[in-house]
Amino acid sequence: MSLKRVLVGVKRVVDYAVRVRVAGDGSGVELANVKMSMNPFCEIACEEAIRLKEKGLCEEAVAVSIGPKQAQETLRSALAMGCDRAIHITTDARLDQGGLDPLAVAQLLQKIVEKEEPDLVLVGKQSIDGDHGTTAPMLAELLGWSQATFAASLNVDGGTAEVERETDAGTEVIKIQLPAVVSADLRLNAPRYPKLPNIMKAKKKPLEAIDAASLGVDLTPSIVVEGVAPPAARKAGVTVESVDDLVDKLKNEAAVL
Amino acid sequence: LAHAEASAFSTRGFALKVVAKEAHSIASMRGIRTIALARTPRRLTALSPSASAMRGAASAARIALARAPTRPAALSSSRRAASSDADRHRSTIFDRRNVEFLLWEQPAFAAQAGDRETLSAMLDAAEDLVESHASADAVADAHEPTWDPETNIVSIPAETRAFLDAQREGGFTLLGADIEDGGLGLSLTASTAVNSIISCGFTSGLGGFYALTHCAANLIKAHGTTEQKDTYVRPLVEGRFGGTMALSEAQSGSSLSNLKAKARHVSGDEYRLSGSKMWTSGFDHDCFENIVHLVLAKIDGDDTPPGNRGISLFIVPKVLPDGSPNDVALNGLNHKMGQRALPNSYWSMEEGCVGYLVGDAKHAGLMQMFTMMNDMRVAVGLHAACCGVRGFQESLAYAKERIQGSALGSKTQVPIIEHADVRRQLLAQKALSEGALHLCFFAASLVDDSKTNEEAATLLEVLIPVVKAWPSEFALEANKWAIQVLGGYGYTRDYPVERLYRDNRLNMIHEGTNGIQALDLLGRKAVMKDGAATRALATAMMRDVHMNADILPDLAADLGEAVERYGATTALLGKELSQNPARALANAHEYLNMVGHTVVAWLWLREAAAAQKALPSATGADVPFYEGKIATARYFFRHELVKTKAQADLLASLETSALDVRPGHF
Repeated sequence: MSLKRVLVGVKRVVDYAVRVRVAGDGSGVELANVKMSMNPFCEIACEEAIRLKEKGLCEEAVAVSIGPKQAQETLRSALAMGCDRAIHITTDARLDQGGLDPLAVAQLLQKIVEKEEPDLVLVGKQSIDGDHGTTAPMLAELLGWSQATFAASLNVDGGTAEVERETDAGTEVIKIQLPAVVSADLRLNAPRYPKLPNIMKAKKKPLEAIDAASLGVDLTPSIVVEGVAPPAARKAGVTVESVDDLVDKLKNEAAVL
Repeated sequence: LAHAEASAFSTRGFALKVVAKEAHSIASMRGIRTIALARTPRRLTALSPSASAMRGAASAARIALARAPTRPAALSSSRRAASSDADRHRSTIFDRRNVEFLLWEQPAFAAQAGDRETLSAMLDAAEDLVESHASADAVADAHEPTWDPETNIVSIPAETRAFLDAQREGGFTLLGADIEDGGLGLSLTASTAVNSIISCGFTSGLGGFYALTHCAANLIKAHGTTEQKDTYVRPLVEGRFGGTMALSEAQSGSSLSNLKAKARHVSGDEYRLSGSKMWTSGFDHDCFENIVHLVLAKIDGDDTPPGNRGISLFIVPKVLPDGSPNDVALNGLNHKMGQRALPNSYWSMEEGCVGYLVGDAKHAGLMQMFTMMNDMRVAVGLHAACCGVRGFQESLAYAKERIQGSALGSKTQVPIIEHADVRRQLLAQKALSEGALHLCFFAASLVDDSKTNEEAATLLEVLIPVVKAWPSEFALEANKWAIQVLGGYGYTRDYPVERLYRDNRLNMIHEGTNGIQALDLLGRKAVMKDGAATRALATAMMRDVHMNADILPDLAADLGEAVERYGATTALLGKELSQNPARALANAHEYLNMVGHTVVAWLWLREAAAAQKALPSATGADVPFYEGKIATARYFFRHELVKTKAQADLLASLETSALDVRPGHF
């Protein structure tokens, strides 16, 4: 008994390997000309959806992303990995911080869920730019659905799913009713690299664009960014003249003795 | 000096371990007066075993207690190192920004590059392939294939197999193939772009397995009988079968007419082959279901023309269609200087060896081989260029981190990139390797365009020898500087730059030695059809001279003069060729290099022009990128293009040192 449809949320973020810089005016991270990629946890979520398809447990995987024109590249990656079609919610608002709040994102995704009627929503546990980790639980709550966050393994069986969740004290296994929202953690799977023929095929798969403003969601941010600054630079060390000096400093200044 | 530094470091390391409680007693025991973090090594001389060495070193206070420089990312697992200054996201292996600049900011390539989003995704996939097999080259280089005659097994490292599997499963073998054979149907321009990323990541011959396979597939597709095509093309395209080119023999390399391999007709297209082959890459290993050798041999019989015209091409599969092994025997492996991932062997065709005449067409061997020449020569040029690019990226990363020496009049030690001589070495590498890369992209686009455009076809004729030879010589020069930038470390096997030099060195030799390319260029291509190709090239270059006379007047003027020299020298040599060919061709190699330098200068002018136009609206890391392009173009003109004046003079003088000197004079 397979699921009809899995909805996969993917986000275009600064590539994990980039060393970001803060803009001169402290308004945010410098994003111009910086390499962008699919959020690593979103890649894992997407991979899981494809694996469900390959196991015959789901018929259709639909990728959805919110962002500017370039978010289409991220959606094409999802299509190249194996999703069947894609939905692009277009907006020019910032997505890392000071633009669309996680709540607005959850509300936009809610609208897509209402339209697409998936049995399962798979998203990454958090994005590596905002690092909120709140979109998945908020979406579940808005929908009134079960949720399983920080999924390290997922077993779908008809109308239920067994999820092993990462917690601070280890893992726990829970059983949830579908439809549900599941957020992917690192150990869930190792995402595949899209094969070249699939990259070519992705070009032909359907990609639908919907203006975020047309979905009836209030997009005004309620989180205001006061300022962004890089972490304090490491201070230079101090040369000590004697062992006594060192002991004194360790005891009285660093307070480690 | 390095030794002194190392000891100082380890002494400091010891001192740091002395923690407070015991420090006092130990300190008094050892008479330590100071603990590490000291900047002047003098305080540590009491402890350091090489104190005298350090004292002896010039100005001990100036020895930076620098850590050993961090290894370039290539040796550790996948990592892209972002640099510390206001610079773009960099890899130490390839330069993605430069590839995109060539593809989409050089008008010449944009049309053939195709859909930008799709090609970008493919470039991303190529980057992933490079990152996930980052250690494969170094491992393969350190573990040269060995052959056990008892078991007849050629050892292939696991990393090599993993890479070949990844190439096949990722669909990279489909790059050059037509859609109807299951390929991707990409233009050569697009394939070259994707391969440029891969060739930077894998210089040690890993790419060779499937490059040869691609060759074999295209040859059989172009010339095979229907049955041959049905049997071999798809498995070769899919990468399940491997291919080899078995042309040379021990006594027959550049001179193919010395071929001794024989073929005796059986029936239809089936022959019995005999003889020995040399320098065959990829012969015999078990990474593929089957290996398809393309063998040149002469058919036994009276109607076989003498010399080159009597050569035929045969398919000699390792495994016959009925599943039984063909009668071929590996006789030994060659121990190469570089490109050690790809086994290279000498082997023989034994009594029962079966071969299938390609296309069932007798004596058509060379004509059939030549179909692949263009693709193969671009591929060789690309490999050479990418060795150069890789060396440049590695040495650039190193130069930014390695602290050594201070500026004139200052006492603060700085990264070596602050020194003029190091910058010169980096400029040289950038100018030569990026110029070589551009040349390969250009040739690939001409191959694509030549199918419909007459001018492109003509330009291609004269540029093919250049695209093979120029990068093999001048990207190699870049590799030389890469080693130099790393200093002593560059000379060790712990850093990749020495391997890159060794890997690149073959490119001057295989696929037609540079000497042969020079003879082909000057003796044939430059003068054929009354110099039509030379005129076409000169015209194309002058077009850019005129177009850029306003925005880059100095470069345009210099190139204009160089193009005139090119035309005049070619005319002079062409005339001499009809009167005294030996004299005309004596310095053909200098002619080849002169043409190469002129053409690459032309390509640098194009890059500088594109950068100049983009600068006013450029932001962020693009600003130094474009400025760098213009600066490098200027360097190339001032340091390299100027050499063509001396070369032109030399060639015009028709000097005959090489002809006059006798073997006994050496």
